[in-house]
Amino acid sequence: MKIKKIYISAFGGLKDFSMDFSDGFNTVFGENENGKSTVMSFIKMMFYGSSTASGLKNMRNRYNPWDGSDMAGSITFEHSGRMFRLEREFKKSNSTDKVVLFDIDMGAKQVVASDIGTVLFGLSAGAFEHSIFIGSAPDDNIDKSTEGEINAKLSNLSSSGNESVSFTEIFSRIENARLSLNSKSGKAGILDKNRIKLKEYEDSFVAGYEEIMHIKALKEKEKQLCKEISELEATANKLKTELSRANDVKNSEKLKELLSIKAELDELNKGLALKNGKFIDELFVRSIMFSIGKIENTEQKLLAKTDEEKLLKSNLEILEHPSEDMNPENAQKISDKLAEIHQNIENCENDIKTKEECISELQKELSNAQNTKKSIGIPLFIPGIFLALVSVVLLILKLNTFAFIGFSFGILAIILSITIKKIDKSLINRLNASIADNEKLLSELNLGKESLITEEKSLKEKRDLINSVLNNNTALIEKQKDALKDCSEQILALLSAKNEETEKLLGFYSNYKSACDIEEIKAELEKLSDAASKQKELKQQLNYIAKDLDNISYEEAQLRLNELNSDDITSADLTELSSSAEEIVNTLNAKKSELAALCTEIRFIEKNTPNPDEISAKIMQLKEIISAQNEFCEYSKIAMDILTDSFAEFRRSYGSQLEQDTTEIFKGLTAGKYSNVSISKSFDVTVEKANTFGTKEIDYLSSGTKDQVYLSMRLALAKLMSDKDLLPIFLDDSLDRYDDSRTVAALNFLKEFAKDSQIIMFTCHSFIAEKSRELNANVVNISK
Amino acid sequence: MNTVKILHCADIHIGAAQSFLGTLAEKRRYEVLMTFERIIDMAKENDVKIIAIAGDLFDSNNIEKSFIDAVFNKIACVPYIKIVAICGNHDPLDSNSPFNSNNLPENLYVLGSEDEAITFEDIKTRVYGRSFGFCYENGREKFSIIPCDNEYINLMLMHGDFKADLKSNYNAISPEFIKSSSMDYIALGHVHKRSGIEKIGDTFFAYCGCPEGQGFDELDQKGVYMGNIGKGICELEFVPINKRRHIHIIIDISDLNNENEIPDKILRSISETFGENYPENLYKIDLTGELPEDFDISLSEIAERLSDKLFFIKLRDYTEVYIDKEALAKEASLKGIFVKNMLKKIEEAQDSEKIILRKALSLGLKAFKGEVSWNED
Repeated sequence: MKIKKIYISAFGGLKDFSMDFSDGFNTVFGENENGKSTVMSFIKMMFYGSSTASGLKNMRNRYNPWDGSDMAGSITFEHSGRMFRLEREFKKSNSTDKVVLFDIDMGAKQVVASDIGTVLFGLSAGAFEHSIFIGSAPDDNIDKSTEGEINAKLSNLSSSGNESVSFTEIFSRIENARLSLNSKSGKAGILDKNRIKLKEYEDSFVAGYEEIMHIKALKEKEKQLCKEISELEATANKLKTELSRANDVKNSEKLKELLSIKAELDELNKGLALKNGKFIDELFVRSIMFSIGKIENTEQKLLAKTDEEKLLKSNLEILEHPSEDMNPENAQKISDKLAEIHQNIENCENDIKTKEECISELQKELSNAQNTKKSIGIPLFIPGIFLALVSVVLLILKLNTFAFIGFSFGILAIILSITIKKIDKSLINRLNASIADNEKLLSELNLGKESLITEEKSLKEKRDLINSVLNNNTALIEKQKDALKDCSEQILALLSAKNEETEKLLGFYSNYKSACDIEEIKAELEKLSDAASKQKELKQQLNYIAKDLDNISYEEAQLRLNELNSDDITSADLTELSSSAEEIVNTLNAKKSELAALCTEIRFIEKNTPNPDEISAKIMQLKEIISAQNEFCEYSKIAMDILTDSFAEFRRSYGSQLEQDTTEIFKGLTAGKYSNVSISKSFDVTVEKANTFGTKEIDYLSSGTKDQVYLSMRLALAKLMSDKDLLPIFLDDSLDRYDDSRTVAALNFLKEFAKDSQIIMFTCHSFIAEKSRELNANVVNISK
Repeated sequence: MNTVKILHCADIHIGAAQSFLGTLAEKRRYEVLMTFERIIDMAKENDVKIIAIAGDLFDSNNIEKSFIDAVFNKIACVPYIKIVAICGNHDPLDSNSPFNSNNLPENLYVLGSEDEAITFEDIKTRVYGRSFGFCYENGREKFSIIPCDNEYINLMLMHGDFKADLKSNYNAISPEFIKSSSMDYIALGHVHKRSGIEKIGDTFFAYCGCPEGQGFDELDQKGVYMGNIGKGICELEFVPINKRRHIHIIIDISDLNNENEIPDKILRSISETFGENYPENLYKIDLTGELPEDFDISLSEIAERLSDKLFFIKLRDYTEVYIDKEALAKEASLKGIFVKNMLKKIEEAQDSEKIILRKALSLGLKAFKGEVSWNED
């Protein structure tokens, strides 16, 4: 690439500024503050824009035109044999800058990215700055971030592929793949996790195996328990049989009684046998009684209905065929009679009323008489006594006359009080007698009244009947007929019900024996009822005994009785047997409980213990995966190691190229004073003097020599960094610290160097400008 | 000569959860059940008298009741066939065993965890055997019940490892055991790979294998043995019954131009080898060959393209990047030096190390091209 021309519309202190360059060696001379750095920065920012740094490092702020104009400009350059013009209007940031690339030969233009330099040079801004943009030595160290890129770039030399990737990137790819399996912490990677999972499976298998063994032991115990229980059950059964036998002996009387009652019951049942094989019982008898009751009830209803029918028929007969005395005259006579009777009744009622009043009066009198008797007696009696006492006092006082008078009156009063009571009592008695007579008469009057009323009622009915007949009351006849019809139907229904019930009863009874009518059945009923009661009683007795004998069957009872020999068992034996049996049963129950608990435990453990085979299968599967992953880690490690060694080897190869080129340039610059330059991986430099043993690190050299070394290295690097199309090299006061002879030597070298690669050197030294002119370099005075 | 027609099957593992199948696992569980049903149907069609199930009918004692009911219902559908079963280490005859039910079909006979024999007078056959009572059982030197007359055909069912030294947690069965058994035929179970019909002394024996494979370590055709047995007679023939096979196949894709051609190549290869039923199988396919640098393989994409054509596919990438290694080794680039160094190492290595070094070379070259990762479908 060759830069032909730059045009600055406005940038920093430069405005409407243009500069032409030759293809070879160019020197841009300007005193300080004339804009050399501005031009250098302009060129860089045209290709790369600016970073987002703040403060003094913000190049946009720094080069913002003082007059406030918009920063803008263009660079015309030749690249791969074609002419281009890059135009840029600087805005606030890279993303808002307007960058247009004109293909002058093709007449085309296109808007391009802000960092178009990356495309054109194949270098990032940092790499651009650290390779083809050469300043003076101290601040120009290559940092780690660009070291990789430079290495990558250099590693592309003579590559057969499209590599644009650095060793670091390749190494990282493999390492990352490896770390995804085997992380640095040893916990997060896929393989790490699989190992942990494998451990868990193995622990689970071991634990499961132990559980399995535990289950096995428990099952042995279960087997043993089952055996013990089986033996205990056999013993218990044996004891049970013996105990049963002993109990049978004890219960022999009961057995006999059981069988005896059973025999009695069987005998009784012979007479109660039904044809269906069953026997008459209380239920059977009650059913018959119920049925008979029902029939009798029906008969009574039938009787009542029959009477009713008769009456209805009679009335109907009368209504339809009235007798001779059913005439108006008779009716009238009856009415007259009724009036007379009514009058008599009224009279009677009056008499009754009078009698009642009389009786009431007499009762009042009686009451008065009873009260008067009491009130008269006492008022005379007390004064009488008083007078008597006074008389005694007078007598004492020897007032005999007065005493005699008083005493006489007193005695008289007392006699009178007693005499008057006797008179009242006879009155009372008379009154009572009178009342009794009147009440008797009253009673007769009431009876007479009753009789009259009855007669009145009867005559009324007869009169009504005659009137009905006389009035020819069809509705009444019809009503009578309907009533009669209903009555007849009810009689029929009752008859039918009675017959049906009777048939039913006879049918039911025929299960026992045949009967012609219910009278026959009634005759047997009492006997049957007694037999059924007896039967019930016997059955109850049997139940009680059977319960005591554990509900033994009769056959079994007979068998036991036959087998029994009462001499065999004593009560002591029985007690001992019972005790042993109880003990065995208790032990057996305890063992069974233990077995149940054990079975539950076994079931629980079995259910919750994974099959070791399943875990084993998982372990195998996982081990296979782990093995493959381990293998991956192994060969990825091999790849990484070989790659590292290869890179070192490669570094040595291009490194040697770099060293070689640097040595050549350095030799040229120092006129052969130095013979060798060594450059490390991190671009640390040592030099070797010609004809002198040993090397020296660059830091120990003079500043001028150091500058020469760096310049040499940077020139060599720049050359190497350029792809097929050599890039221009920008030197910014790089010969600053050179003495005159070194300067001349450097300029001569640069002149030669510029034959292959365009050099644009910025300097503030007129000497350098002058010398450059002497070497026919394109010298531009920026001040002008 | 008295013979009886039997069907020998084992290790059906009904209810097994084949989790590596992912979403297909549940379907596959039902397929195994259906295979069992096909076995019963086949026995019925071929007038088999005894079906001998030599253990592990169920994958565990904790499978769903629906599976257990389906099995017993199917057995009950052939009441005239005697189905004799023993329990294996996966379905031992313990308290949780489905065979402890009170509702077992009448034609199902389950031998207990101690030596037992059942006599079927109508077919003059005695069946001997012993179930696992536990997931581990020690082997025994002899069977405690020895046939005492030659009137009956003596058939034994045994689940365990065929091992001479009796050292196994899974009922080791030694040659001496077989010889001393005096059996006419011993139907073995536990080993999923079918053996041929073997003979020790007068006793024939065989592992029938499992009727449906359970993983890519069970690649052979699966089925049952069926045929007549008698005194000195063993006319059992292998009858394939599996619905699907597990296939492990290596396909070289060096001749392809791009990734899009891989699915078709795979389909062509397997259809040519496995016939028209090829979509039914489960495939583990290793892609091998040397491919150009720009040939990118996405295993998940290939698997997705084949997912509607094949029941199950698992892919692994064992391809290597094709490069003219010799030419590249001469380049002065980093890649060239890397290849040169790797080739040198490969040449100097033992044969056993070469494989892993080649893999390292392949990985390194892939890393030059782009991102690399642990790559298995």
